[in-house]
Amino acid sequence: MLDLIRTEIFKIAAKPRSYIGFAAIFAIVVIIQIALYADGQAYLDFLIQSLNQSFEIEGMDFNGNLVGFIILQTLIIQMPLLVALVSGDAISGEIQGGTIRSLLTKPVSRSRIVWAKFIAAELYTLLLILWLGILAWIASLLFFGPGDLVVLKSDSLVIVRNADTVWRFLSAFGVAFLSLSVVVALSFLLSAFAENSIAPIIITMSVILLFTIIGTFDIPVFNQIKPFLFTTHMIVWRNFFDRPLPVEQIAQSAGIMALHIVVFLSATLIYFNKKDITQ
Amino acid sequence: MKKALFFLFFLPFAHLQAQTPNQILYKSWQQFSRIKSFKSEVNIYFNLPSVSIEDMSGKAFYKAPSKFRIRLKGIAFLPKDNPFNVYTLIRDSTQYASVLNGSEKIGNELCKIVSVIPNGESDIVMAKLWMGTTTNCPLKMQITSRENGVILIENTYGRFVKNALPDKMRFTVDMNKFKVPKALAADINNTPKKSAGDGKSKGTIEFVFANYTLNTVIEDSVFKEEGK
Repeated sequence: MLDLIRTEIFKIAAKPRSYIGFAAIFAIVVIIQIALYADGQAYLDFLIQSLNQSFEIEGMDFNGNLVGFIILQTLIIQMPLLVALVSGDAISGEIQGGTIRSLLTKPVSRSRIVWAKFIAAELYTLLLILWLGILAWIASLLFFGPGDLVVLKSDSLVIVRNADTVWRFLSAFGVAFLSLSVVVALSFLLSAFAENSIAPIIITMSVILLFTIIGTFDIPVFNQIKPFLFTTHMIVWRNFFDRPLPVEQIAQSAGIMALHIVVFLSATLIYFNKKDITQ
Repeated sequence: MKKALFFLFFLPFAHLQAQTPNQILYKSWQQFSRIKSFKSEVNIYFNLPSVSIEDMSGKAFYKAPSKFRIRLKGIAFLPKDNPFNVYTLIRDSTQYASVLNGSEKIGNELCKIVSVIPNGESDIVMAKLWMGTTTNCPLKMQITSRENGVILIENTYGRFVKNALPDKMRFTVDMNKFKVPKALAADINNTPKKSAGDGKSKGTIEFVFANYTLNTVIEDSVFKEEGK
C-alpha cells in the first residue's frame, strides 16, 4: 500500500499543474500582504468607524494575526479550485492518458488504488494548507508583528487576545483541511465518472460556486436548504475565532463534512470497482 | 420644650437646605483638589452589544488639572471623555452657571441634582450631577459634550471618598449599530440578527480601581500616545 501511495505522490509531483496551487497561494498572499502593509490600518479604521464615534479604541493596530486571518478568509474561497486541480485529475487523468488499463493490470485491488490516490491527494492538500499557514500566518507574524486579533463579522466584532490565537489558528487550519478534504472527495468521485480531467475540475468548482451563492443570499427558501449544503459547513473554521467557542456547532459541521467524505469516497469505491475500462 | 427638640434635631441639616448649587460643587472640588496626581490598578469590564471582548486590567494615571490615561496591553474600548473632566469645569465658579434640579436617593444616599452649564467655550455642553449630601461626591454624572454626545457615569466610593476618588466607575455609552458589508467582512454565510429600533444601543464599561497611590510623581510621557 505504501508503494502505491508513494507512486501516486510521484505522479502528483511530476505534473506541472500540481505547483500552480503553491505558486498561486504565494502570489496572492504576497500581494495581500503588500496591500495591507500600505493601507491596512486605514482599511481597519474604515471598518470600525461606527465604533470609533462612541469609544476611544486603544491598541487597535494592524498586526500579523489580523493579516493572517484576512488572508485565510479571502483564500478559503479559492483553495477548493487549487485542490480540485489535482484531485479531479487523479482517476480521470489515467483514463484520458490511457494508463488506467496498465494500472489495473497490477496485482492490487481497485479499492487499494482508489485509497492510494485519495491518500496522495490528501497529502497534497495538507501540504497546500501548511504552505498557506506558513505564508499567511507565520510570515505575517514576522513582518507585521503579533497582537490582538480583530475578527470582523458583518454585524459584530470579536477581539481575540494575542495569547489566545495560536490554538485557534492551528484548529482553524485543521478544520480547513477537513473542509478541503470534502472537495477532494467530491472531485475524486467526479473524476471516477469522467473521461477527461477538465470536467471534474469544472463541475467541482461549479457546485461550490452554486452552493456558495445560495449561502450568500438571505432568502427564506435558501435558508431552508443552507444547512444541507457542505459549503455552509466549510467555513466552520471561522467559528474557532468566536467567543464563547461554539463547540456543538463546530462538532456538528465537522461531522457533516466527515459524512460527506465517507459518502463521496464510498460512491467512488463502488463505482470504480464496477467501472468498465475495456471500452 | 417641643420647639427646642425640633431645632436640636433639624439644626445639623439646616446647612444642606441653605447650600447653593455652587457651594455643593465647590465642596466636591475642594475634596478632589487635594489630589495632584494618582496612579492605580484598574480592572475593566466590558458589556458592549455587538462587540465581544474579554475583561482586562491595566494601570490608571491622573495628573492635575486634567490629564488622565489608562495604560494596558492589547485592544480596549474606553470612554472618550476623561471621567475627571467635570472637576476641571467646576473648579472655577465664574466659568459656569449651576441650577439645582431637586434631589434623588441613590442607594442609601440622598443626592442633590445640580445642572452645570459652562459659560464660555467648552467641549462640555451640560453636566448633570447627582451630588451626595453626606459624601459631597458626584454619585452619578450625565455629561453632554459636543464631541462625544451623552455619557452617563455612575460612581461608587469606598476608602478614598474623602478625596472624591471612586472605587468603581460605570460608564453607559450610546453606541451606533456595528455593520460591515458582508463582502468586506467575508462573512458570507452569516445571517445578521434582525433588531428593532433606530440602530442605537447602549454599552457599558466598568472601571474598578484598586491600590491607589496618591500625589506621586508621574512623568508627562505617561499621558502621551505611543508613536506620537
